[in-house]
Amino acid sequence: MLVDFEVVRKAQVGDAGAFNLVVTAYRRRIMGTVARMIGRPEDVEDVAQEVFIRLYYSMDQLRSPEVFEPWLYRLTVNASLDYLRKRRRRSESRMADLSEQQVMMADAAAGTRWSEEEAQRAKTREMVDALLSEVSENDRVLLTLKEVEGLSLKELQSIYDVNESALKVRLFRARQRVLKAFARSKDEKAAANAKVRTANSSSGGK
Amino acid sequence: MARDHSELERELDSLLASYREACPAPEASVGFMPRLWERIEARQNTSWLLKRWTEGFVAAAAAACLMAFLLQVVPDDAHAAVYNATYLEVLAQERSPENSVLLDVAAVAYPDQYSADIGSK
Repeated sequence: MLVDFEVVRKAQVGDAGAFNLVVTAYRRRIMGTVARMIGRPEDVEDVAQEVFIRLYYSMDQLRSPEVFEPWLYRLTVNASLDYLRKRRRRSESRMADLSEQQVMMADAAAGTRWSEEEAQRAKTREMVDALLSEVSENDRVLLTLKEVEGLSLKELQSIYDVNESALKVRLFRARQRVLKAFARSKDEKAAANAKVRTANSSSGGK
Repeated sequence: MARDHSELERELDSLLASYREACPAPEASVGFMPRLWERIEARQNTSWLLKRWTEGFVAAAAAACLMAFLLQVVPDDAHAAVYNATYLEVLAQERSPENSVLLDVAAVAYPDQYSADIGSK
């Protein structure tokens, strides 16, 4: 726990100062989790605020401060899922929805110099984002919590309120789908590289 | 094939692990808290307004129900005589033995008016 139970209790009875303390303590963690779940840095703050708004209005439903963290995670999962569903419905042609590569190209055109490290990070983000788009929003969030955030099955159980075997089955299926997409993307990349090599060797021979 | 699969699994694991570093927690902007409270208050106002509208609607519906109930239950005095007895009861009362005697007396006293009535009997 990043705050005392007493602070949570005070926030539950409407103490604005205590609520501010809770937000300040968990803001960074929630923003990090949201960033990895939605994969859009520009919308992270907005979704994180939505999490805290939901927290504010549901504090009275919290049974005891001991279950505060799983509760907050559940709100984070729900807000991220809502965002992902809305994003799917939205038009794909907006600048904010362009792929990382396109944004990089746009930035490069604008004269911004990207460091090697940042370019690699952007590539990783784009790749994982593409892989996770192969599964449903629910599975994307579940996989992120397990594989990226490193949450244990027990923690996931308390967030999702389902039994361990059901959770394991869902995780296995989601991972298999992602793995299949990963194999496909590797094959496509290998085929593209082979094509480039063939083109280079034929132009070199002339 | 199995080796390929486990290799693929390992590569995926390392990709997902590097994703965590590639997506660090962004710093909140300076306006995070003020904007949060603005949004909380805006939602509070909306829900307050919605609550008031709902309360008003429920009160109006309850009043309408009460009114309809009262209209059903409270008897209407203007039409009470008509609806207090059935047609057969009124008819039986008209032709009761008491009335017959009175009609006979009336026929003797005022033959012009009641002779037709007696004749019809």
